[in-house]
Amino acid sequence: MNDNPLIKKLSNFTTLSEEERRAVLDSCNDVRTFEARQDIISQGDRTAGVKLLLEGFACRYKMLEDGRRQIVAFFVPGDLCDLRVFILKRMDHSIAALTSSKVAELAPDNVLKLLHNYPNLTRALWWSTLVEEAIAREWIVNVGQRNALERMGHLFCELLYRFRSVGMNDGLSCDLPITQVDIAETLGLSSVHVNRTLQELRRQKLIRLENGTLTIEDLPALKEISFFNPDYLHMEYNGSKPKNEEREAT
Amino acid sequence: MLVSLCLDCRIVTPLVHTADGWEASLTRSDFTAGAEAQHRLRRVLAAFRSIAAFMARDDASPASLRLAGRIGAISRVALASADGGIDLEALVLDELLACATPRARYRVEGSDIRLSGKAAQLMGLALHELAANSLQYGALSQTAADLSIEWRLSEEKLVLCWTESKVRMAMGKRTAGFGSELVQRRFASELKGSGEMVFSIDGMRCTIAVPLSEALHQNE
Repeated sequence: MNDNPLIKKLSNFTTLSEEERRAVLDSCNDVRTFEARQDIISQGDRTAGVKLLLEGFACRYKMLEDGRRQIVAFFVPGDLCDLRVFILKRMDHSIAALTSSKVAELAPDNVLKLLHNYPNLTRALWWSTLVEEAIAREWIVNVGQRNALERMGHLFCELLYRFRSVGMNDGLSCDLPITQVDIAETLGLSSVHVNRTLQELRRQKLIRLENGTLTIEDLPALKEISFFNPDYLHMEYNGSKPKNEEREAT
Repeated sequence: MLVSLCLDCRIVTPLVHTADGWEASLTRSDFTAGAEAQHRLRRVLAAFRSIAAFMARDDASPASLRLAGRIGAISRVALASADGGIDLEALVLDELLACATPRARYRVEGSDIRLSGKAAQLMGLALHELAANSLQYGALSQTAADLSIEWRLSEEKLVLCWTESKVRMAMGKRTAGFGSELVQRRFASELKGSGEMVFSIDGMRCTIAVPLSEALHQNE
């Protein structure tokens, strides 16, 4: 039952009861697959249920009329594409799969039922929403203040931490099937600058990014140069039961 | 307070107060690797930034407004790892990223060069002055204007040209500021090189030359 990445993610915050886990799983029945580069939902579309990424990698983006694109968020498995999105009528941004992805669609009624019936789960979902907002704030700092090397270093540290929180890492490596253009559109850099910066990170033996795999070779040094402090990801366990108790039980 | 901070971190040499603003001399090669030294340097930079912010609040003169930009340019070089030298193209692109709008028209071209820490320090600040001037009066302030930043290596020197064209030039007397002083004197006095700025009706052209022995990072 722990295979569900949302349950895994929320377990960083609290221990979900058997009943709560069951309720989450029951809401995740409507699963669809998307090809790499396919829009999961597009700007202007009517909002539907809440999307939950089960497998793969996706992004939220905004596109300007002349084709320039800004990626404003990445989704790793376990991430909800906005818990409250169904309150709005139409999407003001698009969500696209970056690699072939599995997405569960939680019907608005099911989400409301979860929130109504399970206060502990509700708190955990609020926590995950707050973390998303904290990540968005950090990204504004990234494009507003950090230089190219710091921006990229910060992004890679963050992604490793996020993949690790749902057990999708392999030590200091994780799958990161994105192109240099995606990185440019995320960090607000030109492709030339991205290329240059990747080379510099590689040269300093901080990271490798090959064949869709990111490997961080020196995490302390990368955190240091990019002013990365993982506090904003709020991974500290906050639940009512101690975490080791949960570990023993599972 | 400034001097005691500088001594405390043992990285920054004493400040020189010029007519046009503060000029701090940070030498990356003095900077031993390690997080502690990095943190001390960051704290010093934070102190300088807070002083700049305080000055800008007190008096909104151009000099105090530009101080923050200069501290930023100095920090970009100071905080970059100079162990293997500093990539010239990255230095140029970082400066444009900090100063120029994404839609500005500029071209950056040159061979792969790793600058020595000392050359990067002066070059970083010069590029900042050029970009800041350009943003105020030159190519980066006008959508129809062009900017090209090119460099090449000859047998004995590195030559970098910052060329602005199609610029509608402002009338009036040009006074020599910190930037032109830096370009025209300090490349000669500190790096045995040269720097010149030529203003034409079409825009400004700046040429900086540095002998390879000073410009290039050694031992790689």
